[in-house]
Amino acid sequence: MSKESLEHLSSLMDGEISGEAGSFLTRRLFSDDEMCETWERYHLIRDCIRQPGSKHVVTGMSVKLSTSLGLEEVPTVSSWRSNRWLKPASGLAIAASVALMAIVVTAPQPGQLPGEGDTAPNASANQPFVSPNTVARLPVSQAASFAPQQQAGSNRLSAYLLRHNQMARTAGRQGFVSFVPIVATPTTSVADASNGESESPEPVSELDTSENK
Amino acid sequence: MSGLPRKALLLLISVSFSTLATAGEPGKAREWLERMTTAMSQMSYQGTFVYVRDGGVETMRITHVTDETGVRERLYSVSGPHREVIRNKKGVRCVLQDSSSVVEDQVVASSYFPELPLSVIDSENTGYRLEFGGEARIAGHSARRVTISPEDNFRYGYDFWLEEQTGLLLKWALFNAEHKPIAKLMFTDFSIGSAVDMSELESDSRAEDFVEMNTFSLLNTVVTHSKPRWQPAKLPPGFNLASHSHKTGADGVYEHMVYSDGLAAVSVYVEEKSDADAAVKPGVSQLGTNNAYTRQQGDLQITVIGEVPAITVKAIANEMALSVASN
Repeated sequence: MSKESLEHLSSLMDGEISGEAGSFLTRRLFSDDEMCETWERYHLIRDCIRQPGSKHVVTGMSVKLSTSLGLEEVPTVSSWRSNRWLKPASGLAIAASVALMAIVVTAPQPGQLPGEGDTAPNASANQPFVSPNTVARLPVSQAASFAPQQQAGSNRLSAYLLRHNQMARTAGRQGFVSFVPIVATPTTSVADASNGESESPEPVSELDTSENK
Repeated sequence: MSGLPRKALLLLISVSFSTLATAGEPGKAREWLERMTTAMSQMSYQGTFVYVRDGGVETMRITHVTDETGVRERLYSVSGPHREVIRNKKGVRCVLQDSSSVVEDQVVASSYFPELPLSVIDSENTGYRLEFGGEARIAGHSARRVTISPEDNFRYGYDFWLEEQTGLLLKWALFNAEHKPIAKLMFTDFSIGSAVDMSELESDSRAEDFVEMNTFSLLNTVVTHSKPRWQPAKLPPGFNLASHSHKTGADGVYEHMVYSDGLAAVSVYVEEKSDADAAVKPGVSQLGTNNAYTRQQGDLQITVIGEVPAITVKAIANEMALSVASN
């Protein structure tokens, strides 16, 4: 990885990178294994700097509380600037800012999945259940904010997922991993309100495609 | 024995071992997955991990304790708004600071359906291919890799890096049929057994700061082995009914079915339309790596959710709508 990339990563950990560049870097971080491993190493360094066994995990709640009570100043990014090798220690702070980008909305696209906006599907007993090629039609993610009603819908989906995780008895159960999406991400709904509103049967075209792998 | 036959014998043995090694890979992968499943539920562990997915990087902490009192677990966000999930013998509690709300679910009985054996994952026509191999050092622990690749677009694939001694999960990756990564999770510190700090199981969220969300129709439901009232006529290959529950009493319709291919699971909820405030909008939604699809059919709302591609939840929901419409 180039020196420039390392510096960018360091800046990201410092929270010193602008919104657009930060988004670009997190996308790269997501797809670049080497960069991902470097990020992981930075976190390891942070953990080494931290006293072993200590509970200096700064939660959003505790930061907010200490700020509002004015008990002590929450450590800022600038306090780490004098030593670049200590920058990974501020990973938690940048993770908080990066988390703002973690809200995902799927928006209807021109190449929307067939059948979206469809009404009740048609009986198609003779047609096989085949796998369509969805690569070109994956939803696009974007930052979003949530209205109270969306929040209610999000909470309802969380409740569905809580129950789902309790009931799903799959062989390769991964324990806590199935609850990570609830902790990580607020939910949004797609704004294609026409979906599922009508009751008249229509074909479910994705079942008919032969583009399966 | 002459030199030539001896060489031939050595070659034969070598080829045989090579064949065995190849044939044994899925078996070894299954063995490690079994170890993971057992370890994840029956061992005590604690650690900080980074969760990376398209558009975001977040840091979380997990404490999982198994002792004579049962299983207790707390998962919480270290970055961003405070969100946590607490699991114990009472049920599951989800605290969401950003919406000042708490979502809870009672403990539900185990399914009457038998748990699917790991062998179904790698048998023919189940949609997955298992591989075992790769070594790494993660969070100070040696790890081995198990890869489960999807063979169609109806399910995702997984990379598991498992702690060599225990089988505990140290690194996890989710990818689609084109092997494009969807999410990754990596521990940066990890403790096992007596090194676990039990005090971290305690939530630092004050109950009075949150509004408890009514879990609506999920209350008063029972798991049953009876046949569901509605079932999709068609399902993606390898998916079968794994669990069914319905509402007790006469107050409204509620049917919950879980369909699984042995690894991925999809829940189908069929219930009466709810209050507009709490309703999930029709269409595709995302909850992290889970996709959900909601549609309405008559007076009923159908919601399908699971860690599978959007196309899968949508197709199952539409098949369920067909079944509802015809009954």
